[in-house]
Amino acid sequence: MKHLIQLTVNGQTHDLVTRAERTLLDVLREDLGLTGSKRGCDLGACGACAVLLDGRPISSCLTLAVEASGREIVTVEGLAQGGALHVVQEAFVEHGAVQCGFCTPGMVIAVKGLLDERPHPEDAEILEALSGNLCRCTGYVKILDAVRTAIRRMSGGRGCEALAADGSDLRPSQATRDRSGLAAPATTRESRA
Amino acid sequence: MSDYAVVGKPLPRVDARDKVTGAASYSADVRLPGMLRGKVLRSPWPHARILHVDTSRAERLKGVHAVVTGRDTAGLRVAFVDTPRYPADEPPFALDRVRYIGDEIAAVAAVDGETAEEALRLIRVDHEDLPAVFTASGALNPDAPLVHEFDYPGKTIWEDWGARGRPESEPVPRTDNIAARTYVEFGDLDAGFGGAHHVREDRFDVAPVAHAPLEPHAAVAFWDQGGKLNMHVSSMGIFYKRFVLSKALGLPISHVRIHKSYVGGAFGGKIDVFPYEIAAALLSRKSGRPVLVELSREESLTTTRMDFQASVRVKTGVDRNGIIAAQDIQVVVDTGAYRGTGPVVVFLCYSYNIPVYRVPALRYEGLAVYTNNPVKGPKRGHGAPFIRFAVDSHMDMLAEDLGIDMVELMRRNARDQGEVMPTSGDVLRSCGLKDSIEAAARDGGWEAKRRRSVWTGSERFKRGVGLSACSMFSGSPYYPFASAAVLKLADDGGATLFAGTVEMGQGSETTLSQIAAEELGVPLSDIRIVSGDTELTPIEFGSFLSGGAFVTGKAVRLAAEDARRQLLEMAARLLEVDARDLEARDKRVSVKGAAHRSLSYGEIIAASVKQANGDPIIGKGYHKSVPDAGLHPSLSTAKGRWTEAYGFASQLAEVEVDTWTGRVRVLRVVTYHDCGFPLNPQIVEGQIEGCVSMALGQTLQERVDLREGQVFNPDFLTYRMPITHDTPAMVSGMIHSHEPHGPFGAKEVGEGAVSGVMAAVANAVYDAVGARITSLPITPAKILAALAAAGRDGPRERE
Amino acid sequence: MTTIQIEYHAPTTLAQAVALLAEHGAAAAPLAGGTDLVPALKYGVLRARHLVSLARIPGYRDIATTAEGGLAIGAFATLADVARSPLVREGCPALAEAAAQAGSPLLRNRGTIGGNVCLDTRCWYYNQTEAWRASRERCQKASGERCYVNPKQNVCVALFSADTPAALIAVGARATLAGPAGERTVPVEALYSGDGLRPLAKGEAEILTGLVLPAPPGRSGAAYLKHSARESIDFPLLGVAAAVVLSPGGTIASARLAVTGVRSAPCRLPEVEAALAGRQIPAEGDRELGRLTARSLGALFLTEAVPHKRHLAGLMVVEAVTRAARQAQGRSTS
Ligand SMILES: Cc1cc2nc3c(=O)[nH]c(=O)nc-3n(C[C@H](O)[C@H](O)[C@H](O)COP(=O)(O)OP(=O)(O)OC[C@H]3O[C@@H](n4cnc5c(N)ncnc54)[C@H](O)[C@@H]3O)c2cc1C
Ligand code: SF4
Ligand code: FES
Ligand code: FES
Repeated sequence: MKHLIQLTVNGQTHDLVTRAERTLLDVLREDLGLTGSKRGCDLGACGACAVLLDGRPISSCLTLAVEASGREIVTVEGLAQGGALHVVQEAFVEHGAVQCGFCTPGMVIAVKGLLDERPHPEDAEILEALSGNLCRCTGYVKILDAVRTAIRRMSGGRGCEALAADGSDLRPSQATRDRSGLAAPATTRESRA
Repeated sequence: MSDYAVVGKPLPRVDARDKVTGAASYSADVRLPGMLRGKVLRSPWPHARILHVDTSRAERLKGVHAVVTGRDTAGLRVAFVDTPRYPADEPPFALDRVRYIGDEIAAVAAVDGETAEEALRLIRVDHEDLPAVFTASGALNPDAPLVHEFDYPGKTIWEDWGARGRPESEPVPRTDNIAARTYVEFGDLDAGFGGAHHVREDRFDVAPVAHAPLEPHAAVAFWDQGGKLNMHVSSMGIFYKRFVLSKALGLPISHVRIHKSYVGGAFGGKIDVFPYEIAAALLSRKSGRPVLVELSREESLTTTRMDFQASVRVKTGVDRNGIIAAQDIQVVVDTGAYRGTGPVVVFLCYSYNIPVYRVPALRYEGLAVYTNNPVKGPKRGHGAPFIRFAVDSHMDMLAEDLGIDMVELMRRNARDQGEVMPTSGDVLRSCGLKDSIEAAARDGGWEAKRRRSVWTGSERFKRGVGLSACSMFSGSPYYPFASAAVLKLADDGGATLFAGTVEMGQGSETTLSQIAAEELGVPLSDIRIVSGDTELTPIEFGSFLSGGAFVTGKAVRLAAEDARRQLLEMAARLLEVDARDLEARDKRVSVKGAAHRSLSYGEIIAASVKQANGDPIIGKGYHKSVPDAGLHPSLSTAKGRWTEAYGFASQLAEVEVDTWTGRVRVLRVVTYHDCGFPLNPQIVEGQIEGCVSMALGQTLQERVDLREGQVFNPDFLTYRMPITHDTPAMVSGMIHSHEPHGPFGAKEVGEGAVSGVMAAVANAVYDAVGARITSLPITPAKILAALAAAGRDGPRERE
Repeated sequence: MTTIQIEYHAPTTLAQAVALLAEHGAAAAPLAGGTDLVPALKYGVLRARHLVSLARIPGYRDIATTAEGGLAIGAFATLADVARSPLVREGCPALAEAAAQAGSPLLRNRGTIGGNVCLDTRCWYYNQTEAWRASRERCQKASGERCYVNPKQNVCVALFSADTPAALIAVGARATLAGPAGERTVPVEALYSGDGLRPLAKGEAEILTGLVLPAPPGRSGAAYLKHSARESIDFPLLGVAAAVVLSPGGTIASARLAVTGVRSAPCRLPEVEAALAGRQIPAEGDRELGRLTARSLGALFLTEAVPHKRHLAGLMVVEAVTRAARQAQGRSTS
């Protein structure tokens, strides 16, 4: 059965006709051409399709489009404003939190959802908030670093601007920092060979 | 360290902006007018004879534009390995037989996905079940059903490249299920084992795992008026795909164009040309419309290759000091219903193992066996993870037998710079192996953290550390053998780099741009890169065989060098000095010691256009992998040059074992990677971190659950990849061994750091609780069983 | 992707929703967050052809304290709402813990507690795509004849694996159902039939509208523990909830235990409960209690590591009871 639905996506309202079986992800990608949201598993298990629905991150692959009618949707395409990246996006770029980029839209949305609700989450909360988003490339290390930087920045801190211009000093993203504090930090070193 | 301006710096990736905004386009994001959706009908049977395929009802369904079946590809067989010994064995669509659950039978293109699926349901396939075999050992049984009754030697796709021609021959009946065999023997084995102070033999088993890139495979095809095929594909090397597609479809190579798409992770799983890609091309040709075939997660996981199920037997004889005297290794892999890369992996298990420890006498046998399971292919490390898991677990056991510290045992046997590899003749011109072992042990707190003494203690949580090392190569002779690059200068002194690399997450667009910027003397922001398109870029080696950075990086450096040389020559003419007295920096060329006599790149380019008959200055560079080698080394004897440079990594894992539940928590992984020189440390770290995470998944939790040829966990809920909570502390260091042949001293990165994790964790678990787990994944159930067997379990209920 | 065609209804009152469900009978199902129904639709195992959305019915989402000092939770509240609610975290931490561990953050923002309580049972052979299932004859749950997991008895043993019902049962929560005959309340336990094919005992047209948790008795506490292979995006291999009441002397006066992930319904462990009554708070790793728990689980299906699961159950029961008791001690002193 076909339904007339109204979706507000990134502030723009669309009137669409769709069959009831189709998901919000189907409609975003196929009907609205918003291919930023990715289909990683189509089963609610990877987070690549995450969008904000009335401000909360959800899996658009498990939400029927008809159910989203009349509600506010924000996709990854809606985050940058006037060509300026959102703080979270900026932090992802700086930290190398992006590799293949397929998980990135959903990750960025999940982070945005978290920070909108809790601007100063603890580390454990960050881990938990992103625990529905799979990333096969990064091992999450740099993603978590990016989130920490975004938090610092959004609360007026300087984040990682302390970077020396030539990038020669320690970066917050540097994995050579020991994250658990269990042992002496290591540094990149020259081989004797 | 280095005084480079651009390389060696952790600069942000050039593709990141597109990726964080959702603008980056992957194959499944391509939208073309009139585009149809293609779907593939697959065998639900593990082994069956196909009697008849009736597509008439599907063809009549409204909205269906084209159907293809085995009739459209009759006679065609495609495979990654296609040699006289191992002829291609995989028909894109079944003719008379299907050999695994997921084997392609037909494909349909329709106006939308739902209609295409509906059409698949209308295709009638008459079949007759055949006996099937699901284990390598079962398949080696003399009376096992034959997965392939014939080999079909005929034309090889390599003939243009001078591959040994084969006489047109009739199908050759097969008598067993052995898909490939590698055998290597050197040194005096009998003397080695006979005179050994100590000999031990162990067996290890490894469950198959999936690549599981976040992007499911997808392909778009459309045809030009002129009969040219255009495609967007999930690939790791567009020129390899173009080559095989053109051979498979009988098109001149210039009539196939791969267009740029980002690739959402590959890890080895997107190299092959797959039937769904051939389907997209054929459906598009038949329908006259663009066709997108987007695989479901289940299809992507089960029908586009997975890693091998393997068992490894290792026997080693050592002298009193732990120096290896002789080794006997047998590897048996289940390669699935088609050869996949079975012949390659049994060769690689030898080739990745041999650069680590010195072995004076060796017998190595690798067998790849056909079964009715899904087809196997290269996955990050391609054999190295399981051979290194086996050998370094075994070494840890030897270390204990001998009472020698594992670090010391590794150090005593580790190879040094300058050593020549047996059989291949490859030379370790750079080798940071020992350094990496020492660095990992030091930073991992090896001395302080080994705590075997508390095995019998009653505390619930016990910690331990373990170590392992591995090696990886940097490109090998295989099609397209070489990379070329073009650097086109712009009026403003910036430049556009044309390189055929595919950005699939490894950061090649960034790294290559950095190389060009460095060599040309411009900031990174002045380089634009055009990549991933076979028409717009020169040939490229491909991001497999770990050759991306090494081979293509070198070509790019040469292209930039060439452009720079031209700039200097023109400047020399203009400034009336010898080019050798000039230096280029910050987009200006000036006379050494007379900085006021200088010209901007822009001025030189303008002058070149005016004075040199319009020459706008275009640099060109190229490099062949292992320039002094033949077509490829022998897979069956491992003879022949294999690679120019080996990368090394040593990894230490620190774990905490819950002796009550058997759960292992990895606290820290320390990796020291000898990557020659990190062109972009942030990217190298990212690669190491990704490797470690993926490897931990394989070590502790991932397993393709195959039962009677069917994958029971073909989704991301039940195929359990690591999540944020599983991230341990990671220390990722780099050893700068400066490979003399690499671009700026760089060699492989991105594959090596995956292979030491398994043994490091297994050894750490042993260190912690005294339970030796010899099969992957190391599950809580296995640990509890081992603890119970050793009488070291906590409060435990037995059945 | 699915080729099942559904009729979608979006009633704006509960009465309309009930009427729609009554009209279509077995062919209809309420649609809440859809995080279980939509996968079923994609897998092609959804029996309902009419989905009656609960999204546009106002109300039934609030979480409030009752006059008796317990909690009333609207069934349409999301798991995230339940997990985050200060009232739930304070009044029934066991439920907050269960809700906070279900699925993943993305799923909890959509999935409702009503949907969680009414979750279908799961099985390796059932929760698969149509193409996957084409490899063999349909099983009973997919309207076929056979059972692949329990071929001897040929009875469906699909597992009930939702997280929150165990916690709800342990604390003695009641469910409010609205149906054609009006409203009724039943203990949450009574919602389940134990049948893997149709796990719910309620009427087809009945909608779960709320859950009422009794006021916790004095000196009581409750805890929920979940064990899964992965800390998120994973159903419980085993979930154990324990609610205990301590005697003035500090021993266990009574205990209620509920487990999820072992049978086709969440179930109590009466033998273990009985054994706990009058006992001291068990010590960590209490072997006797563990053994009893392991025995009381009955036959286990759908897992390869049966001994492991039994062993875990023992450990988890002890730990859940200990935690609940500690909470009770904390409450009685504060
Ligand atoms: C990847 C993944 C992981 C998951 N992990 C977990 C997990 O760890 N633990 C867990 O418990 N669940 C898990 N789930 C399942 C699911 O997300 C949750 O159980 C969720 O709470 C279901 O609620 P819903 O509102 O989305 O239900 P729906 O999908 O809308 O409905 C589920 C069932 O309940 C019925 N129903 C819904 N509301 C009512 C009502 N008010 N009255 C009567 N019947 C109703 C529906 O008809 C349907 O049969 C997971 C799901 C996925 C996809
Ligand atoms: S337990 Fe048996 S009948 Fe029930 S879903 Fe599984 S296979 Fe089907
Ligand atoms: S595509 Fe929606 S969660 Fe994976
Ligand atoms: S960057 Fe590739 S999946 Fe996260």
